[in-house]
Amino acid sequence: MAAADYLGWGSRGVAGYIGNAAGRDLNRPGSQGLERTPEPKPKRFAMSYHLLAIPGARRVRVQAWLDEDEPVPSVVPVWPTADWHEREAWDLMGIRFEGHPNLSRILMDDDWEGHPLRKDYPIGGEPVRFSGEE
Amino acid sequence: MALAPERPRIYEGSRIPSPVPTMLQVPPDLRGSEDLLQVNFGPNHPSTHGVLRLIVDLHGEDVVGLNAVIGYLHTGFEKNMEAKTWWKAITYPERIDYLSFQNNELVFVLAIEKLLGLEVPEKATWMRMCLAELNRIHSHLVWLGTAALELGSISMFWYCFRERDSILDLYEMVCGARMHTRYFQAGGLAEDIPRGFFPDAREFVDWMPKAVDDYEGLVDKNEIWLERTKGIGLLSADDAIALGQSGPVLRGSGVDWDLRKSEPYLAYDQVDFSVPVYENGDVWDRYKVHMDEMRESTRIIAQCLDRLEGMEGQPWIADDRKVVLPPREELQTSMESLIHHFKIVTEGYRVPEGEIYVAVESARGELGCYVVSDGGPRPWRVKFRAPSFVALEATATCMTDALVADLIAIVGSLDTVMGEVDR
Repeated sequence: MAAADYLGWGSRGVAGYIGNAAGRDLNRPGSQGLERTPEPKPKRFAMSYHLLAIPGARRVRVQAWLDEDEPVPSVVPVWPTADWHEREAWDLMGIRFEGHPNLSRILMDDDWEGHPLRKDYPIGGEPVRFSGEE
Repeated sequence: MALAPERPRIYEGSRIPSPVPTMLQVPPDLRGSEDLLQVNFGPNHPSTHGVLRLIVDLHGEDVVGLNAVIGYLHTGFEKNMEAKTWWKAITYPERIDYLSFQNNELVFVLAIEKLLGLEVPEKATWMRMCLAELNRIHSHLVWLGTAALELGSISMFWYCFRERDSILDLYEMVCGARMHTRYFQAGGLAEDIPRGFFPDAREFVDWMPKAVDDYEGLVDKNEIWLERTKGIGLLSADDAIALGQSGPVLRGSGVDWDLRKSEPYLAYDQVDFSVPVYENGDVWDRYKVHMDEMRESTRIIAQCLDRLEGMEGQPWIADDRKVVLPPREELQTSMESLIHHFKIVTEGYRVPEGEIYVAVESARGELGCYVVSDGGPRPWRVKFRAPSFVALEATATCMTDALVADLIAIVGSLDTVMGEVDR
């Protein structure tokens, strides 16, 4: 496949590990009479690449499953558009890409700690300055 | 009429910078030169369409280095949506791209409906299409007004905002809000179409093509406009595809690609419209694509109105009480409706487990929504493939061999909304 045949938009980030992460049990489907229990993904993260071939308008989703700290090869040499998408996945999900030419934070501050879109990063995980408790 | 000089032909081969495709690096022979000046542009600058920061290396008037810094408007929409029920999360997407709000709402609602397997009544489909096209015109008008303003055509702004206001009046009549309407629900529309909508919308449809002629009359023969747009910001078809471009940027580079034609959603396969494509890949061609799209959108709206006028009295939302709120009047008389209402509002509905990618053609290009459901009442993961985010990646390629004054025209022509870039 030639790079130019494809619009390589990877919709990145996590498809989800569906497991017993803290706080999830309250929302198990079983609580409303739906007996189905979701299949857990084999690993914590799922990288999804949504590829589109313009001739014929065909779409493909490729998914790679990763454990924490397991790197994935960068696709920037094949699809230049993946540059910022991979930086975003690193920034918000903490997925490392091997061979990315410029893997730095993109949406959060350069000195930010943690990866906000991870499930163990709570909403309100950011300290609030000048709150009433000070 | 040839006022402007001949345009240079679109370049051969690829101009995407290497190794970082989104960053223009100062060439080695210029590094350390005393003539080099690094200028910080933004994040607060009137012509950056929000809070875009560009770090530009200048050698005289020539741009030799460029780095776009984004994230100043990052608000964590995707994270927030994970904490809301499906029902409540619908309010978030429209705030992501605040100019193309209706299309953003549409893509998320379509994703929910696909996961639920919900059938939508015909009337809702056509009304959605009508509003989505109105919204496209709205977005293009704001783009045209502000982009022209940045190039010194101040009066254009007022003309564009005149028509924009009549679109917002239509929205107000239908949805009760001028922007961020939350009019699309999973299953259909929030309310029936008010009667006064049709005459006013007809009036708008009759007027809009004349207004587009007016805009073109303002700038099309203006020598300054021609000089500043023709042959500026070149992007070849191959580079546009490699950089993942879509929408007007892609079509301005000569690629005939529009999701409304190639992967029709709603009822786009039942309306008659054409997709404007221009060959030269410069600012001028992107401008022309926008103008033609406004005309085509008007044609689509007229066809939607024809269909909708014959659908009076038909349902506007699916009849599925597990997902759709019961009619208000039933709450007084039916215990069951009251329970359904209470359950949906407090707990939300459950969406079957699954993952799905839905894409629509928003005003800026392919707006994708990737949704993962774990079967619970909240989305497990929502990810938007924002067309503006991808369009900004092309800045470095378009800026190759450009002058600093072209920077404004080029960034403007990529039609980015920072809310959508940063999400």
